[in-house]
Amino acid sequence: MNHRLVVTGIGLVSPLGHGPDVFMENLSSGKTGIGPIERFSTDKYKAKTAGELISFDISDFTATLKHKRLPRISQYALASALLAVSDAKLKINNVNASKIGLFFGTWHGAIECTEAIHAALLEKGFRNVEPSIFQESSFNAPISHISINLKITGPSIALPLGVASGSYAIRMAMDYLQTGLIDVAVVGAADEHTEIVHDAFESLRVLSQGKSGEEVSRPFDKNRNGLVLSEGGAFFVIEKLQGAKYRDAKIYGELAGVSIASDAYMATNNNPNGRGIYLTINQLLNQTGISKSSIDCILAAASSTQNLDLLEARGIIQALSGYAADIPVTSIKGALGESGGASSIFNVITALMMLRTNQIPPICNYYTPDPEFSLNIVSGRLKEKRLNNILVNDCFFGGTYASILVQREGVS
Amino acid sequence: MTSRRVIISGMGVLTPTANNTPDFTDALREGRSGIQRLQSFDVGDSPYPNGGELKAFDPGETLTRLEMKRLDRASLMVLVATQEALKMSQLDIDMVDLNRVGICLGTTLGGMVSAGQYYRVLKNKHKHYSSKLLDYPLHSAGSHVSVKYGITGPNIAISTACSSGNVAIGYGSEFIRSGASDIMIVGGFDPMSEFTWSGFGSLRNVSPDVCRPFDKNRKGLLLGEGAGILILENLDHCQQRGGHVLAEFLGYGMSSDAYHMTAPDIAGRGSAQAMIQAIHVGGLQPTDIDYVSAHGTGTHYNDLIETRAIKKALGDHAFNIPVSSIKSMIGHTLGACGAIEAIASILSINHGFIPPTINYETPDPQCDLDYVPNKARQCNINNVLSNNLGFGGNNCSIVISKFKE
Repeated sequence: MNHRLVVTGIGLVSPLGHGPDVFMENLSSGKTGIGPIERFSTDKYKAKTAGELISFDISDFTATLKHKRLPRISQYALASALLAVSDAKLKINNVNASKIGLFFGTWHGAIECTEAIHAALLEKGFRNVEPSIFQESSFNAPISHISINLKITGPSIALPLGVASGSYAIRMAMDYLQTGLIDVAVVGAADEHTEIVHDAFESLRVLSQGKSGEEVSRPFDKNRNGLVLSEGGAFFVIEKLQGAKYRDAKIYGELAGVSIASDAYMATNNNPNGRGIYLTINQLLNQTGISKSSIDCILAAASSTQNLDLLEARGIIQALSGYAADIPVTSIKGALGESGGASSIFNVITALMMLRTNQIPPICNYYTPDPEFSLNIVSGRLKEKRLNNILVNDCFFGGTYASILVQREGVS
Repeated sequence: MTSRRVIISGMGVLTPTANNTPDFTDALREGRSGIQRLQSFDVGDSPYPNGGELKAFDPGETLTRLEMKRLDRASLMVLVATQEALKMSQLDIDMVDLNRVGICLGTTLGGMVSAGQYYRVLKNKHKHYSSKLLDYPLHSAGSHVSVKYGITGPNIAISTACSSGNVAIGYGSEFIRSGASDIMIVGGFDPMSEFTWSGFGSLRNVSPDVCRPFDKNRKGLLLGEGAGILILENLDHCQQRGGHVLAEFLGYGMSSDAYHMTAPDIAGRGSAQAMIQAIHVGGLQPTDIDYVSAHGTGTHYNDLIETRAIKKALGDHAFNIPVSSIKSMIGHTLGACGAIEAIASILSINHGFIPPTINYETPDPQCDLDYVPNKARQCNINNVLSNNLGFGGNNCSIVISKFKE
């Protein structure tokens, strides 16, 4: 069974603004979502910036008072899922609720709750662990809230696969839409930024160090020196094309395929030869039947680390050979930082919005080409190009990869 | 177009009553309890001092020192159980297309034990014991399997609380049905941890002594730890290589309660929906089910609701068949329970017995099915329905059958 699957609703909350229109406008006009950290003091850290959602207020998205007490990750997930379902004008009722699935990616889950439990155990003992905090600490708690709120009774599944979580959630949603287990999928991801994660990542030497947002997250740049972390939530609604047409739903674009693979190199590292991305791009081309020359743009996973950006570049070049030098490549993580599970979803949303504007946003903070690889990096200004097929990549530490093909509806 | 059949060709298990599948068979048949006072951490004067931990677990017996370096307990369990499963399957991993092998595992904690150690050192000594974080991510155990065997297909981690194991088995089977993979290493794992022990204790649904599923005086669950790994394989692929078939995976069903974060839906609608779907997708009628391996955690609500849901799903047939909970013997192994219970179901089918619900003393008029009290029962069974219920979250039931050509 090969149903055509399309996106009919989008919702997001991010350091670049809330909602896809504001997000896209800010991204396209070169704004950055990264700034000096406000949530905690950075005196003892070398890395002082992040993409935080300081101006986020859950009551802008839901009137339910108890939602104000939820962990931030659940608030971000709930807000963006509600926006997406509303944008899709999806009416959920007794008839369709069991055929709607929820698929969720996250890197750290409810890390503040997890930390609170460890703190209670260490400082005061087991009797001081709070039951509500324990319940909120589970990786699927954010989607429990969404399923309860929207009364979705189909499957609700969380995939904790780090930065690649969103892509794997999309793949799972698409698999179940194809088998007919569900008719509609609400897919998304969320992560919250906290001091303990910032501290841990600095100790692992993966964070960029610098003072101002403009200087630090520079995907593919020769002088890139680490990640800038950020947070947020993003969801979209996927359904079969015929269902979308029947509902007269707005169609943002088509998800033509998601390929996933591992590089089996080291559990704590990635194969520098780019084999992981090479595998996913190759499989995706086979899966979708599109030719290398049809790819109009690549939205890279590149997040400003020396090794991952390099291996992705190598993988792209190996997989696309002669075409790799010409296909424009960009990354949103210069402006957005590394938002964890939500990054894949932000990337796919960006690709869908680009189908409307036919403009490729440049990589923020990209100044100096890296002599190790030759890609057609979009920098400085927006690039105008008719876009039909956009390749979106994902890669995560420990050898986990994905590639997604976002396509203009009606072209294939 | 013939539909691809998914079979199980190997199993590996670590539970509080056995460190391998043959011993687990004996333990289930004997009704052996793996529950005792917890040793992995200090339970002090807690009203909930008991649980199920692995006994004499020595990963060094099967893994090299290099392999074990810097690995969390969770990853060690997964590697050991995977090794048993692959050995049983007689698969020559060097002879298969490793792009067409994948991994799909369920867990709630991942390397949380190591993360807890990191946290302690951070707060007590103000030092970053960063290597403890490297094996914390929930997909990390799967990554180790991928690296050890050179597997380049998908490595997927699922975390849906108590239903993680069944969901991982179910989603893993989709890769074989769709033709994307020939072999999927699936299952679930979770270590014993102070984190979950204190968390469940705070919810006050933990038993002070033993776990008595469906008993009138049941007082709650007991935590357990373990890992269950199954080798799912495309039937044709297995037969072509001369492998043997242990059982067939017929199908699964899933649902969300969508009711309330803390109060369960006492009508059991979501749970029943998952069971009904599993039976239907498996191509069976409710009357084809010979045995239900219950989620049976021993809490007041689970056992009540599950009983109602089983009746909803099977109708009067629910009264004709045995329903038992092995959690009475090994406790609630969280992310592992679906996989361990699937393995127990296969052992039941192949050895012709139903594992008992132990500690059963007083019938509850609201739970009036045949729970196979205390003693295993000889029985020829063909089709098993195995349930994972997840309050506030995802329910998943699977159907496993005796293999028929």
